[in-house]
Amino acid sequence: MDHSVIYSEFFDRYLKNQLSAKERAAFEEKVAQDPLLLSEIRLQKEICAALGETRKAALKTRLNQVPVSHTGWIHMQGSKLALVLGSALVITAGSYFYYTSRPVRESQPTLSITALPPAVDQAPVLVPEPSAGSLEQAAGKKDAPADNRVENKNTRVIQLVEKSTPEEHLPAITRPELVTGFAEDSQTVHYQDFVPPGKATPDHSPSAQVYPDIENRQHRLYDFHYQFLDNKLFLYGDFGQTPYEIIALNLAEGRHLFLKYDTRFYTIDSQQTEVAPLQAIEDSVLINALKNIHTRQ
Amino acid sequence: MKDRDILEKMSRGDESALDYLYRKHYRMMTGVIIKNNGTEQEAKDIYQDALIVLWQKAVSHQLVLTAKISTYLYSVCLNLWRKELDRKSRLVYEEKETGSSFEDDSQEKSAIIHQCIAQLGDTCKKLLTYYYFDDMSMQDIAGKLGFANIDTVKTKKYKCKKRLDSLIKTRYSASDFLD
Repeated sequence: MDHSVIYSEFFDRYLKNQLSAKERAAFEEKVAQDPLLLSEIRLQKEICAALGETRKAALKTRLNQVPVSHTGWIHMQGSKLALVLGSALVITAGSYFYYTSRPVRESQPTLSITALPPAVDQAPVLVPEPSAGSLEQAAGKKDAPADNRVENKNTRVIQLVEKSTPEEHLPAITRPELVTGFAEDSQTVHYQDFVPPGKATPDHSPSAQVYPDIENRQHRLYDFHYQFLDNKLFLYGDFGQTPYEIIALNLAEGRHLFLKYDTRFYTIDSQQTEVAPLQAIEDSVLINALKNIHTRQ
Repeated sequence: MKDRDILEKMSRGDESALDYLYRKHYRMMTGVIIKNNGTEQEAKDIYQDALIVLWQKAVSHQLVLTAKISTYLYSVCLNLWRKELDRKSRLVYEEKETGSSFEDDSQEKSAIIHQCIAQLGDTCKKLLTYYYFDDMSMQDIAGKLGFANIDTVKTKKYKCKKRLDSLIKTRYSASDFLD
């Protein structure tokens, strides 16, 4: 008997439960009445089961070749573990940089350059023209224009630096605006005696705290402003990663502060208790003087 | 890889998704069986069976997942393990009560069929298993085995099935399969 004749696609549909209820009932009734058909159906079921086992064996063989960890949950959930560790690392690093970057921004960029009056044996840097005279003496020699306030301001600074005896010059240096009538080249006279901060000795320091504490603040109303309170300088605004430096000149009449930020210099008024914008120094002579002081450090 | 992506891959017959799942949940699933008095090997078998159940349903587009895959696998593993424990307890009882001549006869038939399947070519074997076990569509089989179209698959499947039937019936007459 040729059993292949018996096999048909209809069997497949029956074995895969794809027949309708009516078709199925009719077919099963027919099978029940035909032993040969019944045996064929049983054979086909066994073939299907064997094909299933073959397929399962193939899939299991494949799975057995997949490397798995037998040692612990860490390997099983490696991706989750990596995620957790990564997150922890990021949080830790973020916290570290957050808490350490603020103090660094306040203190690291601060370079205090203190020019102290007593040391007078330094060679001039900016203009090596020897002169032992005071600012007033220089002004008298040079016949400078009386209304040149910018130049006066620069001269005054230099004069303050070179004075070794604070009492002699106190009247002339109360405020930069008050000193007038000096020639531009009169400034050069005084650089020779400028004392680089590196040469200064602690004994000559006029005050115990040469430069103030600095705090950088963020404020939505103030950008690039400052305030001076209780010997503390508050800088407002985002200074980014660019370091800022404080140049403190200790003179007989007091301390003068300048801020150097991103190649420019700014005047810091220690009496400025209200928040005020930082004003860049435009005077080229003063800028050069400050640059020299800065360079020496 | 998200559950949705895994299922999508599986439904396309991509077995790499199965590898991924196996690796991902191995410790958790086998741990469940081992905690319930199973051996490492039993746990592995049960987990693999559970994955194959998932595979079979996914590849035949019969799976509607309403929970996470891991939850589904966990449930299947527990069910399969309960069945296995039942089978083992029944086996102990049957060994005490009766012999196993019927089972031996059935195993012999099964062995013959498996031998005949093994004689098929690789393509025939894959095609028939994809069709009868995975319940893949003709279109999916065509894509997986590189056939031009579903008509080619149908023709090839018919020839392969006839070849298998012929091999089996050559070894045994139909009466050998009658009870």
